[in-house]
Amino acid sequence: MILATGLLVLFALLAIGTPVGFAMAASGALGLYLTGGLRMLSGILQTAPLSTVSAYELITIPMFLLMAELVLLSGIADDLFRATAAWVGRVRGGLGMATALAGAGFGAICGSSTASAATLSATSLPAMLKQGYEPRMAAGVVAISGTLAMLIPPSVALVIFGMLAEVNIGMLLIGGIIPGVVITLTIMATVWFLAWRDPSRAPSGPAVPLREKIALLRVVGPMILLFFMVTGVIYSGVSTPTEASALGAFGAAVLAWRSGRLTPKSLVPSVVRAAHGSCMIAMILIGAHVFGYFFALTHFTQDLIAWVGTLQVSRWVVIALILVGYVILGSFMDQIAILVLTVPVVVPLIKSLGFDPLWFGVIKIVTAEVGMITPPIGLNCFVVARYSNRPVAEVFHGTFPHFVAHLLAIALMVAWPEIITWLPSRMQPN
Amino acid sequence: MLGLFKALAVIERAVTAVAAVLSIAIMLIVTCDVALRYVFNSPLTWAYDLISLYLMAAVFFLVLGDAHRAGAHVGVDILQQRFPPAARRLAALVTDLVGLAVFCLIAWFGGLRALDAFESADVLAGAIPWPTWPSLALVPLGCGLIATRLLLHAAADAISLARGRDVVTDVARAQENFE
Repeated sequence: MILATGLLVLFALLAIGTPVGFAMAASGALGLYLTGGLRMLSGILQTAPLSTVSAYELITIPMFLLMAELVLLSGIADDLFRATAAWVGRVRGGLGMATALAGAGFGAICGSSTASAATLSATSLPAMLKQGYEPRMAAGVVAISGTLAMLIPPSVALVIFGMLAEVNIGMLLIGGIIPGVVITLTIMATVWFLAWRDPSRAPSGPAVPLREKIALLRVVGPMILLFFMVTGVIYSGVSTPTEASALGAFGAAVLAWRSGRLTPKSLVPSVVRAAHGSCMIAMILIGAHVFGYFFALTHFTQDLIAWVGTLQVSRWVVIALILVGYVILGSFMDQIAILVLTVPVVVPLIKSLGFDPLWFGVIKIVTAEVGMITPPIGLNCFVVARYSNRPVAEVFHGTFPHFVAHLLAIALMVAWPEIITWLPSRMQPN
Repeated sequence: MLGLFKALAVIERAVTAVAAVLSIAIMLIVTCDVALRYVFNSPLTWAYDLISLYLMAAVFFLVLGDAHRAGAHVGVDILQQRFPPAARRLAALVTDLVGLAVFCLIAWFGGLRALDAFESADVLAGAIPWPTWPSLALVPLGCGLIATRLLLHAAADAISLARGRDVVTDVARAQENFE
């Protein structure tokens, strides 16, 4: 009964647009008060907020967000697309494929998918339109390529999953690498297929002299260096993901400084934006902790697991239902909100069914990618529409083939979990 | 009313500037720590406590109010956008009051705990006896600032609801996104 009250208040607040962190803290506090009175409420409110934000591992989030802002500032992303376009622009649908590659490259140095979509909208979208691409197809590939940043380390979303599910964050981040490659190839294959069906959609670009192609590779050097400063040190066990995130932010600051665009005037808004983002995420984590204490008292998760255990269905049916649920939730809810609301229930459930939580975390992020491009609120489509001044409906139309292709890729990773789990299993123990 | 909003924004901007400097400091300290450990085999022993006890708490609690001003705290606004104006103002008012209650409670309990730690001069067990009250005091400070902001928002939203038109506030209409 108290559980129902708590959940009802939570969903009512979410429905009227209360920020997720506030809504969870409020409904959790109410639930704690109803369960254990003022004593219990005061005990938890005294400790939970400060202990949540003073977890050392949490610095990964402000550092990855700072890194993303500094990478944006350095302008490296613009050069990245020029380089990939010069190399693959000649083939059928080449600029579309170059966009996917630039999205993957950018994702390897930046953990924020909206930042990535915004950058690609500013660089690759005008280039494709100038080449005579069908606008819908061009906008679609830009929106989906932006989501690669969530999956390829560094990834803010994977860190949040790791903190909530208590899965090794380093292994999770490394687990995103091969799926990132698989998804990049999926996007490229989808572009190729669309261009093969109707070549007029995607005219190929002009030939670029080899000398120029090689000159454009210059940009790849700093990018790979930054990738190794973060993902390389995590994989080799040289440092923890927490330390690697600060190294990455520092490396991005050096890149921004070398590009000559790092001025006090440009630095301040970037740092403040990163601080706002970390504050928002930390607030949600605090809300999730307060609500989590209440939720744990209700034994809901254990009861649910026990109930699912009595069902005569295959565990594959359960996982399929969960993934479908995630795609639907992702079409109208914020991805971080989905993580905090579902992980405390879903992860114990899938563990009880014998699934690997690391594998599940990466799969969850791929479904989140799909959510980022699904109407009505797929965030990346709005970002692309805003930056390119094209109607949102057109962008959603353009992402539809990628939506279908992503579902196939998810099925692939469910059928062969090794795609996700093999690389982390090869890591040096930290 | 606008004067109050402006005064609050000035304070928020000042504490946010402090937090911004501290987040750069975290980046530099951790980078130095890793470099010193690998190059000279002598890590900064104080880094861990300094960052987790003071710096992270400061970065979060000092930015809390300013992040709300900038619309950074995400909500699920898909339904709310379709509400008629009166319902939208009422929803905003409920949000302000709920937030106000939460942050007042956290500020109050946090304040009691900080005061307690200050009076008994609590320190962290370890090589350096860091006092705990400065980090505990950040809780009522940060939550107090955002509670003040929510109180002003509640007043503005209540007036908007009563008058049937939006009263000017300094809340950004655009939302910041970070996914």
